[in-house]
Amino acid sequence: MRVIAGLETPDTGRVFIDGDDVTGLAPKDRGIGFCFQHYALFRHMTVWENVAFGLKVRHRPKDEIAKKVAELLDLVRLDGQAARYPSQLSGGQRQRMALARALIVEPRVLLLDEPFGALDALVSKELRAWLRRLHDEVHVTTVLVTHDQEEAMEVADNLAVINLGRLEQVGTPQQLYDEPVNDFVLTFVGPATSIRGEYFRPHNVSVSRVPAPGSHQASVIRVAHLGFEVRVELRLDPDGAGEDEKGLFAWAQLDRDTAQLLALNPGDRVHVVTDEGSPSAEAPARLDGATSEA
Amino acid sequence: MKRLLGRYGLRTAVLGYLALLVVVPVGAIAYRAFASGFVTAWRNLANPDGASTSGFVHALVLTLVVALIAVPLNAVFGVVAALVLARRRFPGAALLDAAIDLPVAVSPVVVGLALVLVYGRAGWFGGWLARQGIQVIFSIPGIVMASAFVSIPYVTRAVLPVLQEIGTEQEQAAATLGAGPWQIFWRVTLPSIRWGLAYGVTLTTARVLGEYGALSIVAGNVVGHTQTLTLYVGYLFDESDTAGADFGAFILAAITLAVLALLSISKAEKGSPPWRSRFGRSRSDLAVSSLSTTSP
Repeated sequence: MRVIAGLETPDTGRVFIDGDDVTGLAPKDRGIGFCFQHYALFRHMTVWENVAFGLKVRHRPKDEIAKKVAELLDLVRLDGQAARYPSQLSGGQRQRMALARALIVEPRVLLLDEPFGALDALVSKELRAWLRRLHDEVHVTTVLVTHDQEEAMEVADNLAVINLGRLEQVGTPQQLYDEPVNDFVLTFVGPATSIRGEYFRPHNVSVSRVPAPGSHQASVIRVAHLGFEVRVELRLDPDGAGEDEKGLFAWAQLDRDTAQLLALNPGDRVHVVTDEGSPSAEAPARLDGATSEA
Repeated sequence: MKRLLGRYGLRTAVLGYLALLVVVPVGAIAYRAFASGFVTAWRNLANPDGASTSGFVHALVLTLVVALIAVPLNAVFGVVAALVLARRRFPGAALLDAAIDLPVAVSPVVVGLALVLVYGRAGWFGGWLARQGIQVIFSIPGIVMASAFVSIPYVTRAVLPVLQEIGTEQEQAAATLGAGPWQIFWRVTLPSIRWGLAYGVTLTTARVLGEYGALSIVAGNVVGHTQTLTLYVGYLFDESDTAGADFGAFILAAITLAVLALLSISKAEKGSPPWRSRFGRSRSDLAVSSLSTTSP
């Protein structure tokens, strides 16, 4: 992100924006808008002055600045807060102001560095939906970095999963969810559970009272009712292949009706079946500790 | 009850200490200066039996001129030094950091002697400068140099913590929004450090006005020529002209207090820095105000 913005120099590779090689350009000449994780608002300026900054340093005429700032403040719903200082705004308002400030210079690319990271969960969810609508309105290519898969799936048209500095997969949210190229992507972009060393989506795991071809015997450990979804935690019977104890635990996601029909209780003996054609891959040795960006 | 006693006891101790060391002596100077009436005091200086009036006025003007040169010099140097220390990593940074404090660490007398050693007629550069017709020691350049020397650290020390606290994100944001280096400095960096800078300039001014030790060596103490206000007061005191010394001392104290008051007023008025709103104070403001609580 900082390399795209020109705040850092890449060791290798080049940066193209709209087909132009901008690798050697200063940040101010790249036509980018950057929203910092902690907003980096100018604390000594009012909301109005903050938003106007990009035009002021370009020495635009006063009436043009006034008009555009009013437009942008209206767009981010801060028109009533123009005379306030950043310290007088809520987290969500600061985020929206940072967006307005970045958008006023009509950037070719908008860069958002963990835009919702500093907000509480509820405000973050609301802003996410708003940002998506805004994006459809202003039509500017936007790159968003996040560690929150759900956020990425919700906001983005295209996702790139980066793990330990390596690009794992690029695709639409659906592609990544349904056709992950490897286990990392599978476990990263959605819930996953491992059964006999293979990963599955928990909703592709079904539980039955009677055995079926290819089913695994297991005991119910716990049943958690989460509204429509019911989470069944299971312990598979050891298959004698010397699996470790941890590898025996799995979980299945059932809908409420199915769960009611089965009437499962902790300690019940069940048979676990995995759906054909569900994405799966060999369980990797170790997944924790991986940092990822989408 | 015990806690209450502790709190008021502490306050009494602090205020008592200040009163004994600062308020009472300065007040006494003011009292003595006006004991025989302001008019008499002024007449003593304006219509003296000797050359002391012209000496006083000249000393006052010289002091102000020196301050007008030395303070802006150190303000610019102080900000640049703070920027370099806060923003760049380079070998010798720690050395520079320590060197900036050197002028207040060594006695002003040492500063004066060192300047004479280098710029005096027999000094390393002094001889060459004298041949160019420039006299440093026992002249105004020497007075300015000594004043600037002893007051170097104040601006840097007031600005550096503020710079470190605000970080570089705002400057980077300005860069992505299209601002060039100068625009970033004038529109973002300088406004962010203005209170630290104002405080540093105030301290620098106070120090320049009050310097005695280094000047007593480099200025030469020629009445009506190279005598600053402090030197003049010391001179009158030595001459047993206590009335004149008291009045001069009062003027000196009054100027310094006026400078300090100016800072408080500007801070209170156009000031009430926006971030010191009822929505809480930011940490950079705390950095500044924690410094100002140590003001003399």
